[in-house]
Amino acid sequence: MTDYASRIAYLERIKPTKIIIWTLLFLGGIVMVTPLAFMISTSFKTGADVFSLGIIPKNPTLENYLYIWTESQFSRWMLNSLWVATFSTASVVFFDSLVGYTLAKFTFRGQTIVFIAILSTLMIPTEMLIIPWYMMSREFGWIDTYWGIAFPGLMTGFGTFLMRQFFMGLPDELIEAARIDGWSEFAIWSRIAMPAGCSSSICFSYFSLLRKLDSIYMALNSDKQS
Amino acid sequence: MEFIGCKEIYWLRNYEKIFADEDFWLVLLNTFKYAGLGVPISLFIAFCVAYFLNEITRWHDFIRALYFIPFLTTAVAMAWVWKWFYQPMPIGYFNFFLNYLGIAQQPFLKSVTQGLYAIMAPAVWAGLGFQVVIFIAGIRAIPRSYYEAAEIDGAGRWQILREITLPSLKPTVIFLTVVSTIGFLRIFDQVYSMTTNGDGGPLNTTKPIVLMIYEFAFDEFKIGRASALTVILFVILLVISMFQLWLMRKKP
Repeated sequence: MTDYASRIAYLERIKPTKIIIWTLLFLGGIVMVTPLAFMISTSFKTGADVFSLGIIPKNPTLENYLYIWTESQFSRWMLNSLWVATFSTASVVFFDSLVGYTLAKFTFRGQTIVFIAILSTLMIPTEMLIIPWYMMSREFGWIDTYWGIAFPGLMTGFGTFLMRQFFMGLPDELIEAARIDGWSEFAIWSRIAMPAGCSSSICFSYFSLLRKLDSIYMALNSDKQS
Repeated sequence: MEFIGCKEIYWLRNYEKIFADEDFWLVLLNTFKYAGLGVPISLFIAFCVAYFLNEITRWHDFIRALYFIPFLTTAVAMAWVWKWFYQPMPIGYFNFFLNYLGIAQQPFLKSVTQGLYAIMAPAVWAGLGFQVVIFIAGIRAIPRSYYEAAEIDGAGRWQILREITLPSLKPTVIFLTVVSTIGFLRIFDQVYSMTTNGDGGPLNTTKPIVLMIYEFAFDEFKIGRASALTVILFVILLVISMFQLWLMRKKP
């Protein structure tokens, strides 16, 4: 078959470019992790060594790690972060994908306004929201509780937007077919849309977990005593 | 916090003061520089990486992880590493390499012309992994049958990219453009941790709007002015995002 032969020829011709692409991507990846590698290496250096140029520490030491473990309540802090992050990630994945799905697959009056309103929550700097959040959690008596740290992150505009964009790519035919079979809308969402958008929801839950573990501001928020 | 009992109503005086402030216009320009350069550069790199990464199979996951790892770091901690890289000869890596190549030493963060770009680099670097992963998820979601049909029709690589991959990626591109524009216009962590005293120096040439808000609110305690500036930033972000969404809607 000539078609098959030409395909083989095509594959053979493309090989050198593939190797170049692979090498470039690999080198790019190494460049990407370089700053991180230096941070890790610095964590094993002694105070006198910190500014030396080598990536391999001259006198490797675990002092810095021991200091963190013994002098601070690191394990307690980590537990706090993990608990808040797990809780709000679960909430965010559930609610954001529901809202995102609704915005992507239904038409209703005021849809654009709702979407823009959700999007606009992305546009206010976190720094400016700290004071209102703090005042809110004081009003509700949530100061120094997990709830006080977690509540602003229970639903995010970011996640809603992401899930909406992913669900927009979901073929309408699937949903139509399920509707004809008499499925409830919730079943369609949970048993068709979510599994289809599974990779995206997993990737999103990942992001939101990271964001929560990063959220230094919220912790600052609850530490202040009024 | 007594809002009802305030002595006089300021009306638009906060805004008048902001618009009369020369620094504000410089800061606004800086903010647009961060977004105007940072968004296209990072999206272009991220798309190239994602597009080619999707084609390779050997160590695919490992290489993708390399690109994603910087996203796992905290902006503040990594800004310190970058700041250290930018230092002059004895301790800074970039100047060490320039010296090795026989190029004159550069001031980077200490310069009024280079400072902004020196701060933009880690911001692009930190967000790249996220954009690559989202792009790959978008590319993977394109049905294989499209490509097969195109190959049967004898379309070339460039044609497939232009006629199938890019149009199908539109929701992803919209999302990334809007989100990273908002992200860059709200840049703060990098500038705050990389400039001396976190003041957006030298001579305010790297200061973005959010840093100005932060200074008004938490250094000078001019909460009213800070709030007015937040409203200005919000309106700018809203207008730009709406414009981007409008620009990219329809046209299949």
